[in-house]
Parts: sequence; C-alpha cells; structure tokens
Amino acid sequence: MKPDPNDPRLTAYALGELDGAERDAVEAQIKASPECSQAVEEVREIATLLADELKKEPAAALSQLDRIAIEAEAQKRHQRSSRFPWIGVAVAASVLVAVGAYFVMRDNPTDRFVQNTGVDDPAKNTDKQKPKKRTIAKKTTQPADSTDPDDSMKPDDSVESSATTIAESTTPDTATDTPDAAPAMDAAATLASEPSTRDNRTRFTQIDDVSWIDELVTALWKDNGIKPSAVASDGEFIRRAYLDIVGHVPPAAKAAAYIASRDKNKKSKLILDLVNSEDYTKHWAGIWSNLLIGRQPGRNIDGRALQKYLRDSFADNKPWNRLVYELVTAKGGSTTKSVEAGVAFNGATNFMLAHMNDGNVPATAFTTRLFLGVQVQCTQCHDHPFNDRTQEAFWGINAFFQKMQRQEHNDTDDTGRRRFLFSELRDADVDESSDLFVRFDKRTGLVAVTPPRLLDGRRVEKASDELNLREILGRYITDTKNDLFTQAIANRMWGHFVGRGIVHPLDDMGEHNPASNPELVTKLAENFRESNYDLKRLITWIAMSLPYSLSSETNSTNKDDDQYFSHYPLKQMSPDQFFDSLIVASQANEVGSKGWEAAEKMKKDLQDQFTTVFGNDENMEADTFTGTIPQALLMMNGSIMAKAVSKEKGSFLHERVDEISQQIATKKVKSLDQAYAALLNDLYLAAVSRYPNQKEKSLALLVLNDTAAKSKDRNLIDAYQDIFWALLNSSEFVLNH
Amino acid sequence: MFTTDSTVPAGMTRRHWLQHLAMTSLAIPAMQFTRTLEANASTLKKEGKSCILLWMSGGPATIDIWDLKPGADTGGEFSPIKTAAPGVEISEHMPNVASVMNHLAILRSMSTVEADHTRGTYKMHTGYVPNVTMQHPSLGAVSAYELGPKLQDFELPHFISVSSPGLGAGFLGMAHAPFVVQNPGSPIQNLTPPGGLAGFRMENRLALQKLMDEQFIKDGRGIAAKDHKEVYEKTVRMMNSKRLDAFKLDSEDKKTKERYGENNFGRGCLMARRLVETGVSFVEVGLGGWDTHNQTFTAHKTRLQPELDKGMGSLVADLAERGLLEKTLIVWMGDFGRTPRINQDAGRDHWARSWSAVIGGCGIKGGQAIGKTNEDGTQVTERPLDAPDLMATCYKALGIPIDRQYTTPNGRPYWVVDKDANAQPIAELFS
Repeated sequence: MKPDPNDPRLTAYALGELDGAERDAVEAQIKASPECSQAVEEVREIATLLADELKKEPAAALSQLDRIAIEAEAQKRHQRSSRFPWIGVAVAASVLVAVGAYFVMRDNPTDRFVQNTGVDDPAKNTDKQKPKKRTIAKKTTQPADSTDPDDSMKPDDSVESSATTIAESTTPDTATDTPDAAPAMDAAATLASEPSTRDNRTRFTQIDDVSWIDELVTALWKDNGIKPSAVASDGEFIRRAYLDIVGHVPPAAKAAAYIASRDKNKKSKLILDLVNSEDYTKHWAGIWSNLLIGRQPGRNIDGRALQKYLRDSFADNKPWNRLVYELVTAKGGSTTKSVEAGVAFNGATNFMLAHMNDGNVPATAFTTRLFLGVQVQCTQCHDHPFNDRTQEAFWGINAFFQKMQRQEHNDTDDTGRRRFLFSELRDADVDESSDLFVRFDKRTGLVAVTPPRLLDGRRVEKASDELNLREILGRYITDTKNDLFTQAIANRMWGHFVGRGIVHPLDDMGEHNPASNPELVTKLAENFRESNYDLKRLITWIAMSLPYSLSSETNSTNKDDDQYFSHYPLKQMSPDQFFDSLIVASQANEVGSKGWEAAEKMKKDLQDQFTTVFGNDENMEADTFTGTIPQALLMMNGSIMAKAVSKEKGSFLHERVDEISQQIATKKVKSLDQAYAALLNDLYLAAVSRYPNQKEKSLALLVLNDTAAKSKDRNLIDAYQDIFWALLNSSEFVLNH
Repeated sequence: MFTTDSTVPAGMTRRHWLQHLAMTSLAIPAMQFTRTLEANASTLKKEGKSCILLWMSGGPATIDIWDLKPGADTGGEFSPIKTAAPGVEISEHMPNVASVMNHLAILRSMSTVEADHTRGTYKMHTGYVPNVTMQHPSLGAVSAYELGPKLQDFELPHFISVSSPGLGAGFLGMAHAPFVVQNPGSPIQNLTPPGGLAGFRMENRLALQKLMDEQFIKDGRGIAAKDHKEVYEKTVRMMNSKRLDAFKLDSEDKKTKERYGENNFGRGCLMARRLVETGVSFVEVGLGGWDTHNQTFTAHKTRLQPELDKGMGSLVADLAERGLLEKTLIVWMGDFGRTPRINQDAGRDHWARSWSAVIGGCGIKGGQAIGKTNEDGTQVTERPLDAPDLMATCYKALGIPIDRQYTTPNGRPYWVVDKDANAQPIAELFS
C-alpha cells in the first residue's frame, strides 16, 4: 500500500492519540515516506498554534490583512510550492500595475512627491555628499608625524629621564596576592619603567593567522560534546562586524556589495577597512569614555576633552599600556582654557578628576576594576568573602592617590558671577619627611594603616624627593609582567566581540571565578603583550576567529551553552549604537535639512531625546533586552521614527525611490516587478543587512494590497514606510545577532 | 491535547479540518489600534496598596513648616497654628494641611548626616549612602517591583514619576525605572502615533513587526528576542488601555483643579490621586526650589508653602473622602533640612542633623508628632530617626517584608532595609 499523506491515522498520530501496535505501524510508515512525515509535522504545527491561541484572551476581530496572511500561510503549507501564494498572484498583478503607475508618475514634474527632477544642482549635490562622509572606509589623511597641538600629551621628557634613573628590576617578587606574606620589597625599585608611546597614523594592515584561537576553542567544544552553530551568513557577519568595530550597521550599499563579492579575502579587507576608519576612533572613544566617567559625569568634568584625548589615542593606535599609564598619571588642565593660564592642557585628567571625591575611593575602584579586572572595591569595608583579598588590598592602592590634588580655576564674568574655567590636576610635592600612610577602619572598630601597597604585596615604605606615587602605580599596572593587566584587556575585548568574557563577569577575575577557557585567555593576553599592546591587532584576531564567525542560531547541542562560544549570542546594542544605526539606515537627520551643519545639529537634537530615554549609566552586561515602555513609545511614535520613515527629501526612502524612478526612466530597471523588488531589497539591506526571503516578499505584497485598497490618496510609498517602520522596530534590527 | 473528532464535517479528513480551523481562527491576533481592550469595571478600581512620595528637592527648611521654634533666635518669621491633630502645630502658611493633620504624623527627629544634594537625595530615596559596589534601587523601584506584579491586567507602568527626574531603579535595571511625566495635564509624550496616520496603517505596522519578531524568535537565537517582543506588547497594551485616562485631568471639574492648585505641583498631586485610584503602585510627585540659601522666608511665603499646602492638603483630603487613604501611603520629605541659624542673606543652609519628614495613610496612625528637637531646633532630643527607619516604616505599611533580600547581578546581597543600620519600623505609627 502506497503511503498516503491523507491517511487519517497520521493525524491521529500527530495528535498523540495512537499507541501500541498501531503507533509502531504508523511510525514505520512515516519513516518510509517523506510526504507522510511532512504531513505529520504540518498537523503538529497547526495544532500547537491553535492550542497556544486558545490559551490567550479572545482576540479582537481579525483585520483584512491578517485574514489574507493566514490564508496565504495555510495555502503555502498545503502546496509546498515556492511560487507566490495563489491569492498573491492575483493581488500582485493589480498591485504591480498600481505600483508601476506610481513609479511612472514620479517622473512627472508635477508630482507633488518630487521636489526636483532631472537636473540636480551641483551645489545641492555636494550638500548631499557631505553627510555621507560619515559612512565607512574613508582613509584618514593625517600625516604620520602631525604637528597637532595635542603633542602636549606625548610623554613628558623630564619624566622619562627620571624614570631611567630608577633601577631596572632584577627579579621582582612573584606576583602572589597573599597580603603581607611577600617581603616588603621596594615597589619603586623593582618596577619596569613607564611604557613608551608611538604616534602612528599610518594605515593598519596586519592580518595574522588565528588558528591558535580556533584550536583552543574547538578543543573545549569536543570536551563538552558541543557542536558549534553554522557559520553566519555574509549579511549577518558584516552587520555584526560594523556594529562591534565602528558602532553602527553598514549602509545598505556596503552590505549589498559585501554579500555579492566573490573575493576570497573580503572578510579581512572588511575588518581592515573598519579598524582604519574614523568611526572606529569615535566608537571606541565613546565606549571608553562611558567606562571611565559614565554618561553624566559630575560638575566641572569636561567629557568632550576626555573623548578627544581618547579619539586621538585610538587614531594613533597608541599602545594600550601607554594609554592606561597616561590616564593613571595624568597631570595638567582639564579644559582648553588652561592654556591661557599657563597650565598644560591634558584632556586625560578628566578621568581622575571625576573620581577624586570621598578620599579617592572611586578612583581606586575604577582603576582596579577597569584596568586590572578585579573587584577590589569590595574590600573597602571588609575582607573579601570569596578570595584572599583583605582590606589592605583596597587601601594599599588608595594610598597611591593620596598626593593627588585638584585646584579649581575660576574667573568672574561681566555680571560678577563666578565662572569655572578648568581644574588643574597635579601631585603634591613629596620629600623624605613625607608621611605615606593612609588610615582606614576595620570592622572591629580599630583603625589600621597601610603605606602604598601593590596587589602583590610590594610597598613604598619610604618617601624620597620627587617621589611620584601615581607614576609608580602606573608602572605597576602596565608592567609587562603584570598578567592581571594584560588578561583584563584581552578578556574585555573578547567579551565585547564574542558577547561574553572568557572570565565572566569581565571585571571579576580571580581564583574564585575561573575562566571558562584558561588557556585561551592566557594565550590571548600573551600574544597581545608580544604585539606591544596593539589594540587593532587584538581586535583583528578576534574578528577573524572562528567563534566570531558563527551564527546566533543554536542547535540542540549548544542551545544552552553560554560559556564555550559555540554560537554568537544575542547582544543588545548600546544607546549610541542604536542611535547611530538608525541614522545610517534612514538618514533621519538629513530629512528636510539644508546642508551638513543643519544635519549635524538635527542629529544632536535627536540624540539628546534619544539618550534621555535610552541612556543607562551603568555599563551593565545584559543578556535580556532591557527595554522600557518609554523607549518603545519613542521608537514607535517619536519624531525620530517619523523622520526615519519619512518620504521627504533627505531620507533614505526618498533617495531610493528617486533613484529607482530614474532607473526606470533610463531603462536600467526593466520592469515594475524589478522596481518593486529593488525598493524592498533596499529597505531590508539598510535595516537588517540582508535580502528579504520569500515569505517576507509575500507579506510585503499583502501590505501593498491593503494600502492600495484603503489608502485615500493611493500613495503606495506609504506601504513602504510601514514596512520600513516594522523593520526598524523589529528585534532583528535592535539586536546585534 | 487538542482533538476535534466530534466536529469534523462529513467528507473532510481531520487533517484538512485542522487547516480549515487554523485559517479561520488562528494565530496572528490583530494588533488593533483602537481602544478595544475593555477592562471590566471592577478591575479598573484599585486593588493593592500604593504609595505617593512628595519629593521636595533642594532640601526644605522643615523648621519653618513642621517644627517651628517661635521665640528662639532661630525661629524665623512664621508663627505656628493649631491643626486637626491635638497638640500638633505647624506653619501658619499651611492651613489646608493643618485641617487634615489627623491623617498625618510628623517625624520631627530625622537625623541623616548627608547634607549634600546628590548624597542626600540618594540616601533619602534608597535608605543607603552611595557606594561604589552597587546602585541601590529606590523606595519607588522596590515598591513597584514588589507590589506591581500582584495586579491583574494592569497595563500602566507600576512606578511613575511626575515632575521629578525619577531616580532609582539601580541594579534592578532600566525596566524598573520610573515612567516620567514632565508636565502633568499635558499629553504624554509619544503615546500616540504621529498625527494623520490612518488606523489601518498602524495596524499593518504592528502586525508586520510582530510577524518579524516571531520569525526571529523561532530561529532560536536567545531570550532577548522574546523580551523585546514582550516590551512592545506591553507598550501597545498601554497605548490601548482605558486606564490611560488617569493621566488626563480634563475630566476633573474646575473646582477640583482649583482646590489642588493651578500649578505644576497641584496638577501633579491631582494626577497622582487619579493614578493610585486606577491602581498604580508608586507615584513620585516633585516640587522643587527648596534650596533657599537666601531670602528663604519670602520664597516660602509667596510660593513654596502655598503650593505645597494646596496640593498636599487637597490630596490627603481627597484620598480620605474617596476611601483611598487606607490603601495609600503618603510620604513627604526632601534631601535634608536647613540650618536653624539664619544666614546673612536671610536664608538657611544645608542641615541634616535635625529635620522633619511626614508620613500618613495605609494604616499609619496620624494625628501625632514623633520625636523632639531642642528649643532652637539644633539638636534631636528624643527618638532620633535615620533613613533606614523611615524605609522600614514604609515597607511595613505597604506589606513588604523588611528583611526582603535580592541578589545583584554581580552576586552581592542587598536588603531592602540596610541590615547594618539595625532599623525598625516606627512602632508608634502602627496600632
């Protein structure tokens, strides 16, 4: 008997109503026939859908669109064909006529939609060009040895010479953390000198072999019986690479080009373009500025000066150890106004200045957590409950900041009101007689003291002339032998890209919190050190690695894996990434604007609205989408979304409609079918960096049909606005996947 | 499991019948953009407990409002008047509040150490001083977090902040941050789609987005996708909710609006009454401008106390009249108090050593003053109280266990009332 997909026993089986011999017989039948298997699946799906539905509250009447969607869905399943659904064909014909009429109409100069057809004013063109500068892959044109006034941030020569007079380390004490067990060797005498810098604006071009990462990760998959997810598609990859490296989604054209490219090396070329772009420096300056001083730093902190300092540092590809050294030891004026007063301007000072309150407690906490990856701030008030750290750990580090001083410089304005100019950050003079101890309360109520003490126990017992405690701390933190330092940044960078640190949480490294792949974090750190702390190289290694290339779709063996990197995780975009992506995808800030400056101002206005609602001070790693109602309201109904899906000149939608209309006129687009498909493709490429699938194309047709039927002025571009709206509000857009 | 044997029409296989059913009754509930969610009348009424926090930002000079020292050289310009609470006198510029004093208790012995705006605000909202190890959630966030989920079919946010920046979800995360309303009485920002958008278009947008999200979820990539879908569904339910009327003041009569006061604070108090009436768990209403380092008496006399008096007095009276006071806790406080000593600019400066807060409703025994200060108000002489004591009192009144513990994302334990403070609810306030 030939297996019949309409056999009622299949339905009964699918609903779990069979048992015993009959069930076995049916199972055999299913195994033998793919059509029967398909039929069973179908029934199960429908039954589940119905059961789920009946559980929910009674739905209101279905809209016309839903009915069409349901019927199309059911028909499609029934037919297993890849043609348009039957209803779609009838609809499509009439819709395409309407769409076609629309596109043809567009060339008519009297069409109210188009402002200028035909000849474009060259001046207007450059206006349109300028904002595009923001898009990627623009080479920086600054010469390698710039005469940038910010040369003041170069290492101070006088400091360099005094550093060399301090004895080079012999064999420093082993880096154990047991307090007071190590002999109190003089910290200053046993540390390496401060890290050197490098001004380097030449294009970064190094692609290394990263099989060492892949092997270490693969080994643990084998050990844990995990099969990794498949490799992500090109569209998925370019989107995540853009988001992670430069902070926004790729422009539609870039996504299309990448997907289409047959170049075997397109991936490495993409990564190199991204790390060499201007948006790279902005993105990372933003990330580190948030980490260092938060989104709302206190009064008199010049966040922009710090960001400029960071941008210059990332543009130079300054070695990470040098950057951290500069942040920890920064001296000078916090704003550019200091120059007039004869104090060297140094934007980096804003980091320490933001954390000097309460006896430098925040400075201690931020420095150890961000640069060494350890939660020492817990031991401010008590010994750590889980590891060997005691209060000495916190206060010993705090003691290195005790000579840090700030002086506020003000003047009075014309009305006599006091006006802040800048803060001067310096270290008080120290000589042999200086007291170096800090006092702290133990839980017993007794007061204890400690001199400046590093986490491995080495101390600064004696003061001397010209001793600079922050420089000693800086040299300790950035010492090439300081594994905490190198592993912290390697781990953090890994976590940024692959979604979770090898040690998780990122800033809680230690025996009590072992790495999921200890060899990986060690090797990553070692190689990073060998590269002379080259951030672009570290980024490139991770971006070219196998784990970073995997899809976020899980399989049965890895759907619960969150520590072996066997699939890309779903990552939330930061508010900045989200906003910048909206702008890149939709050109919302250019809508109705007259020129580049106006567009930039609009961008700032929109961004302020945005960060009020989306700003979140704690840079918390969130696995879930921590959306709020006001955010959803802003996205659904706010003016930024209205501009994003606007048909007005300047918007992405308008631009594409315009171009396609011209292509119809010049016969580059040969049919209305093509025009309609092209516009849909553009929207999908812009929002989610891929082409729509068959189902999505059908859905789009349904929306077009609905709009044609109900829209008073029969403006079918409205349908595309609605599609774009749905795309920009979808989780696929807002999540990095 | 689902079964349809009894109803299959003759000549049709069950498999086809299921498909037919699916076609007609299934699976993609329309996101109707009309007010079709008819909550039935009884669920529109208040079920659980609520709290209204009147937040006086800047640090109010409580020595001129609740605990006057006439005759002392710190006494200032105002005289005390009798109130509906025997033996309790307050400022002459607060007659409306005086008439409902039987519902309220004054805590005259607040002594909270923190005289800096940021630290004081943080401490009075959370019961903790700022600490680098964690961001503590505020009284509002904790109350909403605990009380909100107990409500059925409640589409509004549980924590709403009116004319106040709304500090306070802390480590609980943005999802528990307050919903902020800046201008009570004006339309809520972004609550409706841009003008001129036809209804069917919003429906199409939402239906499309929902289908996209469902596909993304089916791909099995992670829970963030589901959470995103749920936030949007929550938002659409709110947009469609009949309870949104609580945000509108136009249905109130002119007399009521005048009674509360035609100013931001008055409207905020009126909105707060409407919000707790419909069941919102926590509403913070802000009145700023209390940082009176100079000309403090002028500021109090001409604006601050009259606005406070009308808004607060009407709110308490209105809640009592409507029978809502038993389920609504009222708390009045600021970052700290102000110096008994009057400075050279006829102002008062920051002072946290001895000041007053006010509490009432939700079963609290009103009509009394707890704690005492000395003759010139410079010291607490009886029953010193700190922020944790106030927190413990509030949580007890709201029915939240005061030893409730959460764990922060990085593994630290957190208690809703600071364990190290050995704080207790103020016994005299409970019968």
